[in-house]
Amino acid sequence: MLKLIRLEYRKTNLRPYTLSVIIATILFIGFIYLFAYIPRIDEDPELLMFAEYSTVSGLLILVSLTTYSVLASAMFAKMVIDTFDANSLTLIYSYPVRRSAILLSKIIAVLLFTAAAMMISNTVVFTLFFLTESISPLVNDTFVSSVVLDALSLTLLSMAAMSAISVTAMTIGLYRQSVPLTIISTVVILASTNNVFMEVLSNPVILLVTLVLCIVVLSVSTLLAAKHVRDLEVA
Amino acid sequence: MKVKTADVSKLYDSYEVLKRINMNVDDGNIYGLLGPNGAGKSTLLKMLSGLNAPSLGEVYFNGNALHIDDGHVKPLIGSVIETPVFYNHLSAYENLSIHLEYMNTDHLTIEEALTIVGLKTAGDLPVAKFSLGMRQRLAVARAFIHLPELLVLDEPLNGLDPKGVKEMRALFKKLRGQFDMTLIISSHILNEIEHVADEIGILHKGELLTEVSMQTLKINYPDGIETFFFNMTEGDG
Repeated sequence: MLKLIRLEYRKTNLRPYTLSVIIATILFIGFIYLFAYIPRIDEDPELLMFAEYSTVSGLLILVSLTTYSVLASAMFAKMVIDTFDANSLTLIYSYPVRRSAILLSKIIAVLLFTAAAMMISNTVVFTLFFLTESISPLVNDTFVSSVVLDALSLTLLSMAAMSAISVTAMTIGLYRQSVPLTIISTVVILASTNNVFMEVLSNPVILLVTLVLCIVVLSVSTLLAAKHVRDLEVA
Repeated sequence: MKVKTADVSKLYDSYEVLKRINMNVDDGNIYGLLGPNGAGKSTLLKMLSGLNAPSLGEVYFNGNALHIDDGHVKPLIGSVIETPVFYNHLSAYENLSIHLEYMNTDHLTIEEALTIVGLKTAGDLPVAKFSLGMRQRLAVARAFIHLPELLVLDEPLNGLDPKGVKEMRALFKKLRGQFDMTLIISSHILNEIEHVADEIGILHKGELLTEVSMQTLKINYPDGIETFFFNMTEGDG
């Protein structure tokens, strides 16, 4: 499997995706300082929620989840949907590798890249933010070590959520052999789950349940996609 | 017998594209598969390459039933089916290198394969910059570089200029002679098949009308393959 994953990276031009990650990270840095600064712009009491580290971190995690889910879907569209179209099948099905193994290597390659990018990106943003907060705080809240731990656990949860969302969208797109449907599915799933995700942030039990749910959804979606590619015919 | 099909049929929905095909390809032969457009040539070749499974019947390779997910047989088969697909942003060299990593078997060097198909100087160019003829040559190189026992080529002369066609013809004979490969070649260019094939099969409206050796055919049809073909297909083609 490791060899197959390595081959996926060799076959794929990762430069545009790497560039997207760098640009996203720079934007996230801007976003987190903007979120932290909002209560200072306007004295509106409704904006006081931004004066807490949990809200600022949560919002950044939501932005990050949305961005990397869309990025993963774009990669799935290119590396899976485009590859499993009728014409390209003649190439990948000529290899002495089980069809489901080819699909699995592609899924792991995309998720490894996007999860690593998400972790590095969030680490850079939070490290910079917490560093400046420890010197000259923007947020009118107590900065304690649990703030850092919460950001870390949320990042891990959002990596699981991103994997579940993007693989589910990929499976939907794969069944209809449609790149637009993959991207649209991602956006629809994100829009319908973002509110739930906000609730998750404040409750460790729901957080754990959500994590398990993400793993179940990811597994079921992968199995459905594997079944689909096993039955695909070269047109 | 290198390849044999036993009552192979292929159905798409309820439409029968291939009807009970019984095909026999001898070891070390070049088998020319002829047929008008829509006869089912590509459908048959996909099954002989192990890309698709028959709806009914069996394909046998070296006496064993061929299954689409059989990892042991795939390195023994090389194929060019319809429009070849490549990793366009990568060079010809890298495309062949990736192919060899997947095949994981004894093989020619990439330089040797590129030289044989006349792409030695284009090895470092991205495939996106290749002409149709160059892509076809590279597809053929990819099909034989891992030294398969069976080479399945669907319209391999598409996009080639007359010089390229002549070179490719010589290559097919070389692959059979030097590397003991068995070749199945489909083409709508009757004369090209006539120049290289030891045996031909005529596929028409999903049925294999006949299989005949070129030797017999030349005795019975001294005018050439065209007369035979049009007699068999009643003028279609």
